Amino acid sequence: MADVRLLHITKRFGATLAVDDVSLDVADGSFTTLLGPSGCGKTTTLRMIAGFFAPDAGDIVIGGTRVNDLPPHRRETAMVFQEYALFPHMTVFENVSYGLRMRGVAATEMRRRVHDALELVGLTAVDDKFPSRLSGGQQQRVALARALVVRPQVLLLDEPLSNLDAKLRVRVRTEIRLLQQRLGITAVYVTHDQEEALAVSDRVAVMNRGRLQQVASPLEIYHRPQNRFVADFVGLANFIDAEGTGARRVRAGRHELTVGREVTGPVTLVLRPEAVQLLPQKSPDAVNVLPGRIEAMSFLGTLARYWVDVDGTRWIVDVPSPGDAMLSGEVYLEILPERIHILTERASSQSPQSPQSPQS
Amino acid sequence: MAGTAQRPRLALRIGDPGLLGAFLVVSGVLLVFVFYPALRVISYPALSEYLAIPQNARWIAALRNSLFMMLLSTATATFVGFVYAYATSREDLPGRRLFQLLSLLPLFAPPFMVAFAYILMFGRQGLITKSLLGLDVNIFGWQGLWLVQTVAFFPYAVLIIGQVLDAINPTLEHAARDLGAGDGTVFRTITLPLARPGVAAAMLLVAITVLADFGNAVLIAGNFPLLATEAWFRIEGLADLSGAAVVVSMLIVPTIALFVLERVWVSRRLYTAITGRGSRVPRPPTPGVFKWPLLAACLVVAFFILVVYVGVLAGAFAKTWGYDWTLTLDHWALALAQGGDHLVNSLKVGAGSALLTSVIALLAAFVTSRRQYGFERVLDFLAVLPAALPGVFIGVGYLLAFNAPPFALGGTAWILILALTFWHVPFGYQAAVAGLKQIDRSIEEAAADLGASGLRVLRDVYLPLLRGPFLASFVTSFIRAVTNLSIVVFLVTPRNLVATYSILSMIGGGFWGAAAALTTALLAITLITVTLARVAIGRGLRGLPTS
Amino acid sequence: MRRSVAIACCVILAITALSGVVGAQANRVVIYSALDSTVTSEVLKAFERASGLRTEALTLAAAGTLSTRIQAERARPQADIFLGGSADFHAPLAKQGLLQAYRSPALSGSGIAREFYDPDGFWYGWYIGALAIMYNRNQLAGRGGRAPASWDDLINPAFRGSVVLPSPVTTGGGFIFVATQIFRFGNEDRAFAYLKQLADNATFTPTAPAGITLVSRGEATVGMNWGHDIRSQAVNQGFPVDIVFPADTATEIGAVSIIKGGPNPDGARRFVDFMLSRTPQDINGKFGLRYPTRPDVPSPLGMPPLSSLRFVRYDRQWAIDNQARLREKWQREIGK
Repeated sequence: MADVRLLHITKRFGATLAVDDVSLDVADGSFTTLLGPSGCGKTTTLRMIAGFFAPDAGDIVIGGTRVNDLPPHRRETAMVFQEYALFPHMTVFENVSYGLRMRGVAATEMRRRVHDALELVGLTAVDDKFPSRLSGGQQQRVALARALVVRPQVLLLDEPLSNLDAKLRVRVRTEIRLLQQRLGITAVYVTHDQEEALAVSDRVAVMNRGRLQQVASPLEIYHRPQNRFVADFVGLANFIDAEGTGARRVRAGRHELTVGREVTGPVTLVLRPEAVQLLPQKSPDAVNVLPGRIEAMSFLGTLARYWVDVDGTRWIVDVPSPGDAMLSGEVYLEILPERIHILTERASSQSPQSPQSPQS
Repeated sequence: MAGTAQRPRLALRIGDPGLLGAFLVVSGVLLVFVFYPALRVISYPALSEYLAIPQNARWIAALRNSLFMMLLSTATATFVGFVYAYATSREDLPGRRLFQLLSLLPLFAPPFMVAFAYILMFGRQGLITKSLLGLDVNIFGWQGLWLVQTVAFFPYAVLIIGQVLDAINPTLEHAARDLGAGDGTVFRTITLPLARPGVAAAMLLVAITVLADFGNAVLIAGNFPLLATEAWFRIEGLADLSGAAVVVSMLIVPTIALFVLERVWVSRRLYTAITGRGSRVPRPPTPGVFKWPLLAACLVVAFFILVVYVGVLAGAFAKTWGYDWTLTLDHWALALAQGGDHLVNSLKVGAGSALLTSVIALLAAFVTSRRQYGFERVLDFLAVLPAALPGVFIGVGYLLAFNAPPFALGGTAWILILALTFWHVPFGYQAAVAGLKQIDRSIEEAAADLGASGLRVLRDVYLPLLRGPFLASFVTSFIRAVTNLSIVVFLVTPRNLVATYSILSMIGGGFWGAAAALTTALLAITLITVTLARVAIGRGLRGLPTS
Repeated sequence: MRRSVAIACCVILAITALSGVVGAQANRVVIYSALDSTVTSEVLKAFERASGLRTEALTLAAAGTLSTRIQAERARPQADIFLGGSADFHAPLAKQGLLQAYRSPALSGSGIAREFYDPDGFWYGWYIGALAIMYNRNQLAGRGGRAPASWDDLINPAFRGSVVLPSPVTTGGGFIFVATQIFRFGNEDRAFAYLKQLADNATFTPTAPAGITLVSRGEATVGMNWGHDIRSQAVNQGFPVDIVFPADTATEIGAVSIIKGGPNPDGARRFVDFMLSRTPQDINGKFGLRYPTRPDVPSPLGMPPLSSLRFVRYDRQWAIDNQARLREKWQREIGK
């Protein structure tokens, strides 16, 4: 096992700056996710760790050794590819044992390790099958087994779940996480799915346009995003422009709100939908209460999602365990001061809006 | 609704009169224009003549030599083809596009000229062997033929292997490297095994072509009897049609065997790389240890290709080719005076037969892909059979079959056009079949669901989508038709002489310079036509999936 | 959809364009000519002037191919006349019943000798070709050799590996050469002993003109071929090639014949009559350097007079009768 350190790495493809001065520490045995929209440079970063591309500048250090000049086959990394990249002319056994053969592992040990690896990923009796005869989920597991069997110092996963259907995706990601914890292996995981990132990671590194935006635990990323991009990309959020007025008070439009800390100057308030409570009447002892009007509603089982108009801006509010009773018409929004996250950057001139609109 | 919606195709097709008609027409046409002439040739000699084959020492030698050359030239042409295809599949090979283009050139070369250019360049008095290297080399015999066939036929291998190599997902190479395989190991364990079915397919096609090769053998082989040339000598030296038919029939036994092997064994084994979605990543850079030798190999091959064209071009402008290199335009005057009209005829015959080929091939591929009437395998075989028949066989077969009622085509241009058409059908057919496979059936179902009949589906859905294969088929057939000689010699009529025929006739009279000039003109016109066809047919290709 | 209409239009256009050139026309004499295109077109022009008839020609210096076409077209002959090529190609066609016998009234005044036409009138000889030796002057100098002058010089070890002859198995000329040797030695075994020695010295080309190309370009030094072809294809093209007619040489008879059942039998007969006149033989001498069969036509310019050549006593009938046997024997004993 080993840690991975990226020191100011930069990669250009022609005129495009794919990765721009990224520095990242991946602790030994941790599960770190590179999260971002497509084209943000996350896959390029992963491939540089694997050695498929050399960085134009900066260093990659694995287990204390600078590996910039090592070709992929000399690095103790193993990758699970988005399209699995199973060798179609080899059986499952041959696929999984490939890396062991490259390392000159003796036949009996090889057989044992291949079977252990296949068992680990929950596959049995597929040794002699060709990959084309397997289902998508099975192929994915073979790809995982093939990577794990070589006992890499670092396991690299490049959107490994994007070709699976929704239900399987959730199951397999949990399995991958459990395996990683059991084996204590260092893993770097690339995805564009924020929910997936939050669900499996020890740490999440959010990237955009080649730059690292924030590196933190999933909780931190979700609740205390460092900038508007992170807040917007991870989960849903209401953004409200406000002005600090001193004494933990901010002014947002016609309303004054109490927040968790002292702020001055222009700020953006980030409010997760579940951080807002929806009340049929104004409760007398509430601190931050805004009147609003429900415009649309969507029932999602574990929660109900409302789109609420507050002074001409649309808020998105989640109500957990909604039960049978649904709200409608005039309501009051109650916001707990400690759940308001404050960005000191003033996001934009455009009015705050929810990233998702109701289907009308 | 559920019951009928499940199988709209079946309901649509059974008893669809248009489709049934198309099926009958295609079957009929293939039976008459492919099977019947082949039968006429095979049945021309008496049985006793076939039984006497073992007593004919020269024929046995020819059979042995043909198989020998087949093994030799196929091995080298495929090897060179593989190296070339592999090199040009690397995105970082310098001059990659140019090399790809160059490898197509030998396909354009008319018979005779290639071999002749080699004599001039590599013979005892060759520009390169003697003047440049001071060697005394005898190019005649099997060694020379080996070289010429290798250069002439490796492009076929490049075409097939190149497609297979390009289809290999670069991620597989990345994956192997990631798992610890070095560059050499990646090549050995991934690239090579994945390309192996393509290599096998290429070998079979090259083997068939080598077996039937006549133009190179007749000039270079010297007195090294081969079946293809032996058939010609039977005809040319001895006017022995019956003997020629026996020899040609001897030739088609190994050819059809190879062919069946290809259909049954190889074409089923092409791996379709299993990939889901996912961005296509660039191939890993080619390491220097590979790259520079590959580049060197490409340069050597390119040199051998260009030599032919330089030779032909030089011959067209030099006073006496290979002897007096004074520049002159006399050959052009003679060539255009004697062969000018023939060039035009070549174009007409080439374009006409290429169009017919493409239409028939498309229709045949459409009908056989239906798998509805149970005879599709027979049709499939008939559609690819001509590829296994040497040109002489087709030429003689058409004369025997279509010069008497009810098919009295002798003396018209049609007999030549039809012979060329059906000889080339396999090329168009294969392209169309491959194209059809890429079109999802659901598109057809959607059209059918909206009320389109069987033939309407062909016209509205398949024709526009198959423009790519149609173009490929047209171009290939056209090039082959205008450069053909083996069929032309038997079917050309006094009123419709074509350029290759004039070239042969000039060579026969010793007018090599004029022959070179006419060849140059033919090459130029072929290239222009192919370009025009690409523009005309290919204009609507944007936005369509390209195969 | 629009595309398919366009394609259909193209097909129709192509068909229309082609139909303009399709179909034989009446009143034309159709000729399959095994001579080179210059001689053919000059001869045909002269015939058209003399007869007022029109002609169409398929000119291919490949008599065997044309003969094969005639055989394959037997069900519905497409041509009237088979022009040129050795009588050895015409005679078998007559035997197969593919030629039309015709007793030409032009024969009587022509002075053509008895040996130059078929007694039944199936074919008429109108030119003569003689076998000759050729050598490349430059190559000869390089090898320090003496110029070859007789058939026996061909087995001179100095020329080992650089002698070319047309194959007796696949060419008419090559076979006539073998028969010539038998007549020269008067004994088959001695002839074959000579041929064996020759085979050690020589390579055999599958077509006759190939040998001329090789000697012209110095790929070979010495060769045997038709005198007129050597002259027109090598000497007159400016190559350093000299020509020698050795003693005991032999000839081919270049013939013309009428194809049975051709579209224009009357025109065909008039064409044969014309071919026995002086004009075509003059033309052939001038452009093709071939000797005439008419005694009143002079030998071609630059060629030794026919009377100066010394011929072996060549029994044409015996040669034809033994052709298959000798070819087989050649393959068995010489194996080249």
